[in-house]
Amino acid sequence: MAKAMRKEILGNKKICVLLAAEGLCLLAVLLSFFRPLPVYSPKLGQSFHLDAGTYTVRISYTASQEGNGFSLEDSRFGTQTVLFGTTVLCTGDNTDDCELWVLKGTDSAVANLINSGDEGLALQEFSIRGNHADSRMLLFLLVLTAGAVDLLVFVRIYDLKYGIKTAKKLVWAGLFVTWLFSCIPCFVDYNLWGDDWGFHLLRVEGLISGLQDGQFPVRIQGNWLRGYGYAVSIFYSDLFLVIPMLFRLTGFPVAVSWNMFLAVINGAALLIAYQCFKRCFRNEAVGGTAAILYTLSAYRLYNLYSRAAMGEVMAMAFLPMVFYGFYRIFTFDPDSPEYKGGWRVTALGLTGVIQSHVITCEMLAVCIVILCVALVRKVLRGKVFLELSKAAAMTLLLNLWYLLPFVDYFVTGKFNVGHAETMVIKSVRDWAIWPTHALFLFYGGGTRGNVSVGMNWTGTYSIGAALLAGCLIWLYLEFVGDMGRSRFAGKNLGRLMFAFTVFFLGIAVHQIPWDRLQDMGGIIQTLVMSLQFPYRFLALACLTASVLAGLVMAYGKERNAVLYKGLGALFLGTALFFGIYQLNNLMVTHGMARVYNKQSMGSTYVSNGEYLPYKADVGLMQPDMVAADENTRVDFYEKGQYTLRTEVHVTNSGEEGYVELPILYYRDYDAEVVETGQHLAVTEGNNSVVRVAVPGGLSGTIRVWFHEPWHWRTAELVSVLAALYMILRRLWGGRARPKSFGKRTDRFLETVSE
Amino acid sequence: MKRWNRRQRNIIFVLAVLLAFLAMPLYMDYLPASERLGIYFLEKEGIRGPFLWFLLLLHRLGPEIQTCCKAYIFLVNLGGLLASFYCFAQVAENCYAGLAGSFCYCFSVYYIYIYMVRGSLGEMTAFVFLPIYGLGLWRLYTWEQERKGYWKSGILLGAGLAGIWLSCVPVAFVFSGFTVLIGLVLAPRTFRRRTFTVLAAACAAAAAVTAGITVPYARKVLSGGLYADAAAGSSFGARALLPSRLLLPFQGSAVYDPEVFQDHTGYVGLSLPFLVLIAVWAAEWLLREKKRGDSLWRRICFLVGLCGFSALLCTTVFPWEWFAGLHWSVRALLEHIGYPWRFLAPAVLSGSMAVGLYGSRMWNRGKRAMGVFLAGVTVCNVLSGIYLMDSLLYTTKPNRSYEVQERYQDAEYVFYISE
Repeated sequence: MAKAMRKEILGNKKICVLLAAEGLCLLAVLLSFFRPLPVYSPKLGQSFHLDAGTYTVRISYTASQEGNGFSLEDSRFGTQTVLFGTTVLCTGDNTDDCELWVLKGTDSAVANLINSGDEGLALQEFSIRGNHADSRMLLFLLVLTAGAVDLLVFVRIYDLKYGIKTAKKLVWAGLFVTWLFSCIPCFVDYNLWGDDWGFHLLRVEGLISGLQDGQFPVRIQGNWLRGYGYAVSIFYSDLFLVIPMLFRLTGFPVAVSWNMFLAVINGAALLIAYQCFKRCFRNEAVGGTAAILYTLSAYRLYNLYSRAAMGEVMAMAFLPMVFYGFYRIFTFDPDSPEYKGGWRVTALGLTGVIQSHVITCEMLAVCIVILCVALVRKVLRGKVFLELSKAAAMTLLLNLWYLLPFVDYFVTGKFNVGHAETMVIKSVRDWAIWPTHALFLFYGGGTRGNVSVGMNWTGTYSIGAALLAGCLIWLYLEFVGDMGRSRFAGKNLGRLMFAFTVFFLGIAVHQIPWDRLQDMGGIIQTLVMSLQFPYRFLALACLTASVLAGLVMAYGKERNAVLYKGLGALFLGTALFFGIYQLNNLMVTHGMARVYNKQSMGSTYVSNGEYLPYKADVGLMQPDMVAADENTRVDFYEKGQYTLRTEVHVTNSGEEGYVELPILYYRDYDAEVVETGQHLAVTEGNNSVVRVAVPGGLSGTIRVWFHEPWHWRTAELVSVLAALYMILRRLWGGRARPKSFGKRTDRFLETVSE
Repeated sequence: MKRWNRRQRNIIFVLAVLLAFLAMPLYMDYLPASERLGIYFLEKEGIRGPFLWFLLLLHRLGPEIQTCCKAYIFLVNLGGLLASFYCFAQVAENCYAGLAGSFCYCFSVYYIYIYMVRGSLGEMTAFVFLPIYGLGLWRLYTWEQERKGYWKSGILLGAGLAGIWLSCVPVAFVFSGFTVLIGLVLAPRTFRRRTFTVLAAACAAAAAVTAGITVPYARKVLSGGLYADAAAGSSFGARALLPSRLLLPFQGSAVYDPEVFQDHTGYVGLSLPFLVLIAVWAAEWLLREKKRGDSLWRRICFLVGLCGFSALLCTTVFPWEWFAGLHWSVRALLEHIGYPWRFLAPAVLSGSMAVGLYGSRMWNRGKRAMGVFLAGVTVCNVLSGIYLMDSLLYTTKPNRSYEVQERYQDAEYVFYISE
């Protein structure tokens, strides 16, 4: 068939013309990499000309206090032409290369220094040089567009030749429409101001600065806290932030990269959910509907746009995979050949969750424990136990590169996380929700989460109307006895999902004594405090309710076609209506911001400050604060605002002393004397900064950097090998997909009954 | 043990879901319109019906004001749902049609308004009795006089009227007036011997039962007393709604500054289901082939007409100022009705009954037609009543204090039964 298709494609003149046109475009874009780049040397405060393109603005300045800025804008057309914003100027002597995008030629570009009363503010250099970011973006867009067009053409040819079922086309059309509507807030030239939006933008930029510092994988990001660095990558995996990082490295502005990333997350959530649910329900339409409900679930959209809780929302994308993995392990016949391989899906799903959001893992662990206890007899069967063990082991190996440093620091260090006195959120119970939230339908752009404000302008702490309808229909079927009487294969799975949904909705409410749990101290306190918001359980409720809605549809399909179609229309109509209502209100009421380059976004938003050394005061972390004891003199010091690389020249004229550098202390910093290669001891100084011991009589340059211990490196190697094994098994190990979906669906029922 | 059949289970399930949604504001640690709910717990001299006495006595037993209010509101919601379901099902002679009517009734914008904006517990209590009153009148005028149990319609009517009077006097004024009006419009039926006897007996019985309230009330009115809320505002006619307000389907979108719009009248109007009802009726009236002797159609016409007329009375279109100028007694009466939008109560009652009748007609057309009808009713109520509930919760800042406004604190005498 592949040969026939190839012949079909290459024999078609129109396709050849299309491919030739794409090739020419590609050539034109590639040639643009060799064009001469313009250079401008404009003067401050005067209008100057800029051609359309991308540029690097170099500014060298001296500032003696904070609050100064450098702006470049189009005085006539604003952000219609020039995308730059206002660069935050740091104290000291600095040189910054800032990105600039000019959408169309203009004669009214103006650059200004914004002086907040700093007498020492002076600009030494201001120049604008063209760069190739525009060509890179063009290349990216061309490849993307050409790929999409080619795919459509291929599908069209395949359809004409072999035919694609109408139902399948409808499902894919539905998925596309859902993706389109779920991305409504992405089709603007700004970002919605989500709660943690600034935090995640800094993480993305931190990845770039970490790589530039020579770290791989990045562990400590040097762009945070005015260059003091923050170990966010150790505690909060950045794996999927590589996507927006690549967009940024391609050349897209921060705002555009972010919106593209949100669209990617929506697409990923939709496709993963579809692939998993389709296999669970053995039906594309039912799987598609469940996936659409999941993607448009109120809490997920709220997480994505209003909270900008990227970790949580990325973890939500992988939850269906975790569900499908366990579904396979527990419901397939252990003696059938397709049983093997379920552990791989589970391991991948769990890896996705771990690499996205640790707190979701915590909640998921509770869920898995409950599941395993409920199905203990099944768990203890040899093959099932083996599959579960394999899944757990592979999850551990795949994530060892991240988990080992995480646990290492968590156990050996003392950080704010888990300590109420240093956290912004003191009481978890204050952030639990009301039962009213579950029945509330018309959520708008509200953002408040504290119970004290009640329902006033509340955030969307609900699974949404469509999933609620699914739960109510299931409850109805149980109440009237239809489900009890029926021989529906997914009956017990549905009951389990319903119970889990009620449990997740119930555990998030204010009436649960969260404060008592928090006061218990020890590991319970740490877990409860790290959970922060009990409403996070809604993420799991969205998953279980989506599965339940799918089961309701599957039940309808078994009963009669009218009921099946009616349920489908009800679910999809409700999901679309309420989803669009929510996004519509979000768009017209929510705050927004335009950030284009890293220099405009500041560096101090550490959110709750979880990963700061215990009781470190962010307010005291000022740039270029180098301190030394009385025996040590600092002759020279150099450190950028976006890097951890530090060099300091010291002279010690007495006994052993020390020098304290503007770097936040984490255990694995190293220091050496450049001239001799002698390693120096690094300890924690005042306000948790790096303190380097200076031997008596030393006069030389000290270089400080972060280096990983050997056991972290070993863990990384293990994870790489595990990932390679998974890839090789996938490529050459054969596909263990079930060929027929017949009578195994009732296994869950049997399992639960046991 | 007798098991419920499927129909009963369906009804119980839907009623439970409706009750759960209706009780949405009760699941939190505050109540909407708490500053108005505090009125019922004032210990000042005044007129208080038996239901409001129950509320006060409950509080004196120990529970907090909020707990008492929540318990009371829950019981009222439950009572309203059950009474409206039973009565509308009787009117429509079909339980699903009754359910549709009940849905429209309990989630009407007017009910949500007095529940969540006005905090009028008396008026809400009256809502429990309106369907009973409606069923009484319905049977009185639609049943044959010779039919067995015809006299029981008098009991229903009397009980309904008495309940309304004992709950909220302004609403009772309105419904007493409507009783007279309906009696006059349907004069040929009214003055049939048995009908008139039952009607008169029911009214007399209601008057006798409520004398403990009405006599002191009348004395106070005649002495020139005004109830605190109405006394603070302008004239009755000036408090009427602009006609466009009735036509707004999404009342919850309103944003009112409480400093400027003291009474939040912007949230009150005719619900989307009733607007759709009037539109459907008008379309049918224009397009339908006229059939003589179609009694159901005539009854629908009467109820829809009553709904439209009542709604009209809420608006500035009706010459209330002129009416008030006719005689001091009319003026006094209107001042004690307080707000023209109270005429929405008969509009909601008759509209809900009409929805029930439409439902019974749909039932006769088959299950699919009934399914579409119920889905339509649900959509309209979600977009209207539940939307308003959500909007009010969403836009109202929580107030956990039950301290009432100064005009109530300063009043020497409070018409609790008018609030």
